[in-house]
Amino acid sequence: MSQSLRPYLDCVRSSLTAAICLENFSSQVVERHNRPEVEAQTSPELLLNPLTISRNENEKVLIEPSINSIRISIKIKQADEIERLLVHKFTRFLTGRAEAFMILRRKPVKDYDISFLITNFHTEQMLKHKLVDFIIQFMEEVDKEISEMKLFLNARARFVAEAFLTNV
Amino acid sequence: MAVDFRRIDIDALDPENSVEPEHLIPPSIANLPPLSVPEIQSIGQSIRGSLSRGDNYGALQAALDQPPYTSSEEIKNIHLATVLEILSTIKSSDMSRVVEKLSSEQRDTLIKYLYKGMSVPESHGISGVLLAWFEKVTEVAGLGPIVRHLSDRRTV
Repeated sequence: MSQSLRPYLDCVRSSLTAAICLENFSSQVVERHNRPEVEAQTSPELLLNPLTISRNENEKVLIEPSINSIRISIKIKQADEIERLLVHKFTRFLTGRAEAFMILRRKPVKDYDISFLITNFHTEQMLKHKLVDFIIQFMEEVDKEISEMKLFLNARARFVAEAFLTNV
Repeated sequence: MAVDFRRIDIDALDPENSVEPEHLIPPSIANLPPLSVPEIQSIGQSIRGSLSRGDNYGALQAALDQPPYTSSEEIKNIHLATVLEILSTIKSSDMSRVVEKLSSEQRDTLIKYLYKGMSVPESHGISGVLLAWFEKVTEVAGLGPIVRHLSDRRTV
């Protein structure tokens, strides 16, 4: 792991560990409803201070905690047009299958590429430290994945161009 | 009547029923007078003075002891710039020594400024420094300052 990535991920890890502290909380507005308060935003007393962690202008994490849910939004590094395209396709692929990922939000928060929504029901079913590990591992892997795809795409484009032009 | 009266949210119209962000300010700071721009600038000047004399620890302490909790966003940003200047001046070899000397109150305020600093675009150049500070604070004080920052309505 590179030298500047480690403090960033450590900071995200400790912030998440502190912020994932959720309890069951029914809606104050509608009886027998139970909704994630960070999405419903019905009352400011149920929301906690949001945390932003940034490594540079292209890599940021926004953590919005509330009493019964927490929303984590990640901005993935995008240096050029190809990476922007790859990130878009990649996140679309994941959010299109959000059902299978349990904590994935179907739509990212504005200005971010991908969002997770963890509610108290998730923390009851799953282990908290595993959830944190999953987010951290996702952040580590996604950069690697994108740069790998970019290399592969470039190699393929070169090959295709060669094959196309030799026939002329 | 064009509006369907069944669809009107009557609970929203009840003044007893709504919680505004102003209601959540703790009474301990509600009566503090907000600072004006010249006042916060003179505080910043005196802090920069001790910084240029080499008293980094004193400057950091002075900046963390009087955060403008009740002032407007503009004034908070002026103070944030002062704090960020101190943080980027202190050498990374001195960080843990400084953090260990701070009181637990001051560490909480420092964490608030670190998160705030990372959320503004002006600090993208020094976010590496802020992350290093963050690491040192969590090494010394654990997760406590982060949890206190989450639920603290005294924002910086």
